[in-house]
Amino acid sequence: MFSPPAHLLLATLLVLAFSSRASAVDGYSTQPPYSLTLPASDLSYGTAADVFDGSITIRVDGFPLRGRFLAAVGRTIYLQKNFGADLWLPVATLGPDDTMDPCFIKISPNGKEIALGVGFYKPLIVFETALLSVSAPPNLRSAPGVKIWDENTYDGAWRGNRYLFINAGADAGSQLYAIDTEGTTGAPIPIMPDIPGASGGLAFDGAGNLVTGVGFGYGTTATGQLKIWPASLVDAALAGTALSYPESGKVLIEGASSAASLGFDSSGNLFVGGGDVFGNSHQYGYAGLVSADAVQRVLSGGAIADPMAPADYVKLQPDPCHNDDATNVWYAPSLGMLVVTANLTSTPPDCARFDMTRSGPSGQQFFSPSAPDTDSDGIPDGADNAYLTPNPDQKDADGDGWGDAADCDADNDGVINRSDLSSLMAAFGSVTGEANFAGGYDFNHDAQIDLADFALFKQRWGKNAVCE
Amino acid sequence: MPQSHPARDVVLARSISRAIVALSVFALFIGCHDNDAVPAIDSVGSAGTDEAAGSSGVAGSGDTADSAGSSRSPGSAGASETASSSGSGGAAGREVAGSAGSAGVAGAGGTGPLSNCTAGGALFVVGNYADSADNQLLLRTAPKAATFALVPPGVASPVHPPQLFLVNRVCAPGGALIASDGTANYRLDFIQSGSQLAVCSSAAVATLDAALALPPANLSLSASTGCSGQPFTVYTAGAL
Repeated sequence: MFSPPAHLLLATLLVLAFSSRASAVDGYSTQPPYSLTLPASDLSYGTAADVFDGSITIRVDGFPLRGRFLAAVGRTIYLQKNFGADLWLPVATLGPDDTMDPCFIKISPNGKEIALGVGFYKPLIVFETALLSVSAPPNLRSAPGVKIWDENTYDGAWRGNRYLFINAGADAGSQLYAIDTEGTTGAPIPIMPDIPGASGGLAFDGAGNLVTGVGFGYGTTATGQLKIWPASLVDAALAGTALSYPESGKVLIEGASSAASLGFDSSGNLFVGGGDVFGNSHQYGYAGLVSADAVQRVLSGGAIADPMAPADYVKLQPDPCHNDDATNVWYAPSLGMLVVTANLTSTPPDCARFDMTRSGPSGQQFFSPSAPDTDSDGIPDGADNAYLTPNPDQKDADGDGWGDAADCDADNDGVINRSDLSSLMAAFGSVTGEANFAGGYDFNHDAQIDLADFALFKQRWGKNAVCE
Repeated sequence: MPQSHPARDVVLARSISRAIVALSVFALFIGCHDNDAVPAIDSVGSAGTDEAAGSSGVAGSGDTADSAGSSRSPGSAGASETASSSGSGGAAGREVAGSAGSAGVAGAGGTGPLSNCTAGGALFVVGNYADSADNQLLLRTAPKAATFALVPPGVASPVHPPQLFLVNRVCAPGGALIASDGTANYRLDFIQSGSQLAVCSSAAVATLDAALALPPANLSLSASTGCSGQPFTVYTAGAL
């Protein structure tokens, strides 16, 4: 959604201030900020989300998943209706007694599998993306083919499309294990049983190197310590030689948020989110970025990343109050899109001591200079409500998530039907710029409404109004 | 391609038939090709009447299509009026035209190829219509194009998509159209009476010229068989 509120603009200035000193995030600050609000529920402490990569071609009831967010909160999994839209379509549910609190949702690299951590000491669910439905959201507790592991979870990450790595544990110690999702309910594979602190996040870079850390530290281990392990050791762990957190790997950085919500961008920069309002470590209210150079340096035996060195580490702060208990980061590689969400319940000058979650986390979308802008209207695809039709104003008069320039749902009822046909006929024969031109019906994007567009319209007849 | 449907409302049809007979202005429409290629129509009148119309059409003022074409001027609406007064029409004429291409059906009788047509232009009637089975006919005139669509009844379903036709020619003085769905061309003859609209469509032909050469439907006495031996489809106006 375009039109960022004032506080987000302020936040962007802050980001610019940071990024001007660090090459690793310079690219993300070269375009305007775009905001996003995830769905919320009183049933959940927070909202988990992940984003389908821009290369994913799967559709759900006609809705493309490419670059769209999937969010899990309460008892429902939602699909972002369109790029840049704060509109969320229920696509799956849990049982009436389930709540997700907290949880993670992670999409496999090929987009075909989804892992859902229902919550602390709640089951892990893995299911095929093809199960999702806009018209009839399945109950994942009873839908066929859903795999359920009764294992504790905190955060998860896919390593390839087969193995799901989970970090889970309690205050004084946590562990890392892997699930072979091609099995049925096979036993977890121990990967790292001795993490000295509460669970943090975990992530793999493009080479399969592992990063995880301490979400909340006790004793000599500080909150926000991150370590990195080479892919070869991870492979060995999968084969049966478990890793020891204290005795293997390399310390990547200390005091990086609460080491939760980790992820790599396509340049190898590591994003770190989290929020430690309980531990008084002051590691909250921001997300961080460890530069790819620093990651590679540490991996090859060099000095750990310096949180005070802009070339190594910078902060992304979407909330000017800097009081969020959970600042999360997601990245869609093919869209060059980074999203940082935070709880913006209070705003300056009335900042609360802490902003707890429950309200829909709001976030900013950042785009790299190479982010695709298919229609060349200056709005990156990942934020463009009509990414195939130039519409720099991003107007969406009826608020249905489809930019006016590409809105094929004339009566806004969510289905392509007679009223939409009538609108197409009213625009028939027109070309771009004419008063009756309606870009939503220019399905082949040749700047005119003709029988070729009707042929494509006909294919959508009676289906969900998916306007592209 | 428009689809015919079996629904029939005899009472309505007969009233339409009477209206048609009364409105000689619609005598432009004489003869029509395969009804199943088009929006069907509720039957009108008796078979006997149709037969009479058919025979009168043949007997009317036969001429070759070629000569009819050459003798007509672009503004030869008078030919249609003549046809109306002569009561010519007919399936027989249509069949001849269809089989020989030079069917001697036109001439003064007006049963030959359309000539008083203009490219594009506004439809003589626009709006939403539905037949007795709730098949819907939408007619629209946009600034640069006129179109009509046939929409199957009920909730929109992917297995029954609508059909859309671009009007290439609007022919005076009334309701003949040449339209294309992008792959084929059709001639459609319309009869409007109050809130009701009777439609006869030809079979698909490959080219615009071929469509222009098609003979009209038979409106002289009855619409029960005037559409290539089949009844016209009668639609009633609905809300926009």
